[in-house]
Amino acid sequence: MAWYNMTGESSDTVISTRVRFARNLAGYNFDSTLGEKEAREIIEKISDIFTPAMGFERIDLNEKNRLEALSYVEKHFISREFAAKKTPHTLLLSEKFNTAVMVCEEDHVRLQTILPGLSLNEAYEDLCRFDDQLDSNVQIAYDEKLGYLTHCPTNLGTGMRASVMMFLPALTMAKQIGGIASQLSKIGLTIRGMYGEGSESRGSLYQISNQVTLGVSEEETIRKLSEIVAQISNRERKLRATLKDDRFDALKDKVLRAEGTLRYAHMLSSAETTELFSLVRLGVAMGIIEDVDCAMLSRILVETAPATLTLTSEKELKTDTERDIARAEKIKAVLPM
Amino acid sequence: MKCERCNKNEATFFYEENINGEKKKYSLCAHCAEEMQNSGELKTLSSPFAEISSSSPFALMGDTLFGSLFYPAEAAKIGSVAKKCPRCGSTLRDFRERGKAGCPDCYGTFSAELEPTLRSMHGSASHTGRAPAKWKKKRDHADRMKELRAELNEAIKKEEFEKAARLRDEIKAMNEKEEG
Repeated sequence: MAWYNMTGESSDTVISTRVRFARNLAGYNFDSTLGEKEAREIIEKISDIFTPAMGFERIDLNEKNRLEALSYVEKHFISREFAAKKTPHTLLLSEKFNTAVMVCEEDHVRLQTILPGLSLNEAYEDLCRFDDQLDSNVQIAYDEKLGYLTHCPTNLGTGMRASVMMFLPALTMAKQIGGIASQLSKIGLTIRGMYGEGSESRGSLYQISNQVTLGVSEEETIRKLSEIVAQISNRERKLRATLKDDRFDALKDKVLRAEGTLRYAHMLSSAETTELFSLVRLGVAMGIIEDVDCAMLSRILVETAPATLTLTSEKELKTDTERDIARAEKIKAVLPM
Repeated sequence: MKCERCNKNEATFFYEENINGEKKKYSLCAHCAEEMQNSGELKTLSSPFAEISSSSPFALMGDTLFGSLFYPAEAAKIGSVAKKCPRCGSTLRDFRERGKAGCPDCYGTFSAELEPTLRSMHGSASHTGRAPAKWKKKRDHADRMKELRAELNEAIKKEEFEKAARLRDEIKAMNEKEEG
């Protein structure tokens, strides 16, 4: 089942967990000096490994299915750069395993698993299995000293980027994100707003990930990131408890108004949906709203994003107004009455 | 520090030469360094250094980090400025402008120039962690051999000759297995 239809661990503070490995094939140039013929060779080689029999669907991305590609970006299966690429590139996707193999991204192969809630170990172990498959079928560019050789030196070593999407409304309100950011940078981690850079991200959604890939093993990185995420979660929970004690009625009013708008509005923009999502999700986590769960909210966030909404709508959506009406309808269909 | 030639831009290139005892020192901005090099005033450099491209991820990390990678005096000393990757033909300048290697072999070609940058970027220049099966086997074998050799030395030191003989046989067997 796709990650956004499930509720994972620590779902009060964590939306999803994503781990990716960057790998390249020995004997081929990197992307910026790679010829089209070689790119197609690589695509065929990798497509022969991650086959439909293994649960992977092959999607050759090009101008014609640009909207589909953007929808995969909104589902966090692929990167925006990969969707926009002009040279040959192919996606091998398993929605069952929530794993995407991006072939001819910046690196020849990027393996990526995304799971709901906090599940760094599980995502890492899943990914290792797919990495072993890759390793037993092709020769990987590797150096004893520098580890996995990647196009960009920032990924050398493990080639691993592990990131956790956190939901931190109380820390955002208390203006503590900036302080967390400077602490994280000292230990090789980073925090970025999901929507727009800067310390206050729309929807209070943040991505926390490792920066360093050389000299620190995968397990060590996962352990460090897990610890930090747990610490940040606890700080967020403590602040929420304070909110509950001090300003419960004001908060409850705000949350329920947001729920009302989400349920009954005729038109909703993408930006407003994210804001409302944030308040309702906080209401669910604090027990103010009971008949909505986190999976429904993740689904709303993914399925009402512009490309996915356009792709799944029965009608053709030409104007912003048509899209905003369709978005409100979609939300009504997801939330229980 | 300002560039001593134009006195406008920040100096990012520090150049020293010593030709037959005649010493010269310059602190220059990228623009002046390139001009002086083109006019032949800076003799030991054979390739001009362009500004860091703003699209390169390296640009985000500031000049100081890359100062070490593209420090002309250093680069000239190791004689690497005109070096080209034999596989993809990338030069150090290509690498720098792209912010990315051209092929896996670039890392071997430019390893000396890259090492300080990797240290600033990652705090380390050597990998620890997963490896492809082939390499992992090699690494495990090397680790085990190291252990056995240490044990053997210890046994010899303590005059435990029976144990030493057993260890010696084990090492021999492991070597033969690896070669076979």
